[in-house]
Amino acid sequence: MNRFSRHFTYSEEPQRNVDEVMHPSITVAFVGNPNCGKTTLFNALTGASLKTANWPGVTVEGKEGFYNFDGHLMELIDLPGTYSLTSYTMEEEVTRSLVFSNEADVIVDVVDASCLERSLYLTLELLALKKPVVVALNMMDIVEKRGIEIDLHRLSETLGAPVIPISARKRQGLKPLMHAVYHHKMTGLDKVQHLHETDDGMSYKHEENVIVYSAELEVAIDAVQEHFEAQYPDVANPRWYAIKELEGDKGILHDFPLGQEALSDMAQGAILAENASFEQRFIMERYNFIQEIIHECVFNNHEVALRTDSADRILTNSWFAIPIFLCIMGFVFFLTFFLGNTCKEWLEAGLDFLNARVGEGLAIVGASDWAISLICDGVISGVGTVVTFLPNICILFFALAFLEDSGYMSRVAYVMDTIMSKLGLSGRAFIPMILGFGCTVPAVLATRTLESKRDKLRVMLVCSFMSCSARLPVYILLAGIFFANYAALVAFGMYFLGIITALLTLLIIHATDAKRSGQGEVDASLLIALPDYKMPDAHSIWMYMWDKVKDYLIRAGTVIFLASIAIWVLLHTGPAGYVEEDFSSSFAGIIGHALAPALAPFGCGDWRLAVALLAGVSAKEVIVSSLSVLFGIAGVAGPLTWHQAFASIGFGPASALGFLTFCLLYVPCIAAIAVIASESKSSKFAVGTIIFNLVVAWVVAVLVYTIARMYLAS
Amino acid sequence: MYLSDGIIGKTYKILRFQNLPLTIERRLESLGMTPGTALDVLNNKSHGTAIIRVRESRYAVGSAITSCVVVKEVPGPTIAQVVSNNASSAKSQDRGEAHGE
Repeated sequence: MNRFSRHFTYSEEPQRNVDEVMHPSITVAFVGNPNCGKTTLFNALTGASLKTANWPGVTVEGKEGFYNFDGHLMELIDLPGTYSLTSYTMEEEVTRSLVFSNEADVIVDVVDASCLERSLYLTLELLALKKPVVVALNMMDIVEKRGIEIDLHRLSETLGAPVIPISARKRQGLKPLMHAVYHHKMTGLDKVQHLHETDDGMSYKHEENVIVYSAELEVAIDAVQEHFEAQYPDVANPRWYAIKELEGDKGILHDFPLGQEALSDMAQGAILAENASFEQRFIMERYNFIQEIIHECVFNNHEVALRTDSADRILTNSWFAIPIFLCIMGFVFFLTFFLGNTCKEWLEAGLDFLNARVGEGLAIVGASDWAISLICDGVISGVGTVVTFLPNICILFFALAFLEDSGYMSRVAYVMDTIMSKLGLSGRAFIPMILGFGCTVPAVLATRTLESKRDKLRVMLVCSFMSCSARLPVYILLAGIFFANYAALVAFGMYFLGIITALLTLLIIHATDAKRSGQGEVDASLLIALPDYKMPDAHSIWMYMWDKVKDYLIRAGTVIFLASIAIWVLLHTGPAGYVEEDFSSSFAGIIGHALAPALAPFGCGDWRLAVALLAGVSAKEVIVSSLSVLFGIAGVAGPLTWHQAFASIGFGPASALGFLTFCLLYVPCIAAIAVIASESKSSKFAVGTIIFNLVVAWVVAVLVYTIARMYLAS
Repeated sequence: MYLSDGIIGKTYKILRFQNLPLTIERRLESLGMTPGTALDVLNNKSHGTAIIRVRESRYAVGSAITSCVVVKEVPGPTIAQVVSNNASSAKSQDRGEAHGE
């Protein structure tokens, strides 16, 4: 008995906070295809709120958690979803290196029972490694619903590994699974009992190996294995290495090069293998073997998810797909903005109330004016403004998680692929760009779902051009003042200009990049599995939403908190000390005066406009509030008051268009910059994005202003 | 013919890959799309971006890939039809040895 076990004897619940003195007795790695429910299972076991979206690549690096099985602490590792153990993609490499490293005592292979044929391929690869593997047969609830029957006993026999039926979504079968894991580690490998009916004279091999290939391949394996053993006598499982050498696996060829003699033997073998490469032959024989297993163990597998097919006939139809998609996104936006804004107004009212009470309270306590101003105007307004967007964010992510979990989102990639491929991106890249209309932050976060790093960076670069909701107040204010009857048209024009700029940027990057490397297109081409449609799972949606909301709140508490203080300080201090009224002499005023000449070419040469734009970097809505502060317009003022204020500095319709254009395209807000830096894992890229956006904004704003001047007053 | 020219609702057999980068070819193969494998074309846009069913799984495949896959039409009913036909005939038989869970 482990001396710590009594702590846990009575608690069988998943353990989150692990006593520091506990040391895990077993390390368990979770491996499986993308979408197989591996992360859901992992969450159910550890209670950790890891992301569980259907998007491949969600688990980019291994995640860890703990589980307590009858007093035995287990360390669980969640690995990226992968279809095989070759070393062609990053996910495969991460999984393979961990499985190899002996770090894991037991491997849990999570298999989607509703598509066994594909899932068992990875299982065979794992079993070939001859490490303790437990097969978790997930989605049993779906399988039962469809009336498919699986002979679990026979399946376990043919694989030579325990097979445990579970449903991660419904949290069924988790204890038996972990029990099997624990005992499998203790007792070691089962004997494989799958014997081919044909007598191929290799029965001794069948007892040790899950899969025995055709005589032709086995002869080749034996030959290479002999050479391999001679060269590397201490390496365990030489058969596996021999197969990988034959398959031409890059990693193995590099780490375990074979001598000349072996290579010439292999070359002879290659001639034997008519037309197909060894790797193709191995893959084909593995799939043939899987079909054999399925024939033996799976019954009534007839309803090939016909409902999904008929839904797809409509949802991915060449004519209806795009209109349907636009309607769905329109509905999501309707929910996000109309429903979200109602809640937002309540929050704002609450915030105003809080602000006033805190101000009064501080005054009673006898706090100095500057302290009251710092807390109320700086911190509460700054952080509060950002927090008021919480309802919009919650609704948006609820809707997206719903679409994702139902299986629809991967269809969008297909629907938009034709358009996006003209810009050198895969269809998936469209989703983050759409999100950009809501807020740049989730848009950048959503680039995580893109498979290639190249696509990811390109989309990040342009997604702030998609006009986010925070910019709308600025459009409404200025368009209302200068283009009373055409205000909506001007605001819409800004959205349109943003889209055009983003698409043009992508097109130019694609055109210049394609010249450099012709290969890019095929590599970026779409290749994704489309899961069956299903009713989304409330728990997964909640996990997904909460994770995003948490990120957002943390940012509001850190970056935006600091930015709010910084801007307040800049506005209220100057070389002469504390500035109360005339911000012109504050540090912000000085910076504004310095920046103003650069903005003059698009009609915004006044220092106050420069300060407003600078303040807008903290959050775009701040532009509106700073303009009112800077021009000394208090409370709710009519367009006339604003008009007079702007007229006094010669700011007319054309300048307004220049200002709006610059607003649309210049630096993303601090929150977005922070996310760009963290998602691209490169502060250099973030700085590059800022510079790029500034340059584009300046050029387009000057262009718009110059054209507008031909028809409008300055 | 190429997979990009596949007609919706028909079944094809993969013959070989042409000018496809090795990494992509290997990814397709490990998903079970080896030469000789039959696939259903469930959807296909004019540019060759297709939805196919291979070994009971659905995939969306970009035109840059489908235009590199050489296929041959397999006459007769699709995989789905065969499976559902088998199922209806199997229903009449007693399958007492099968156990769901």
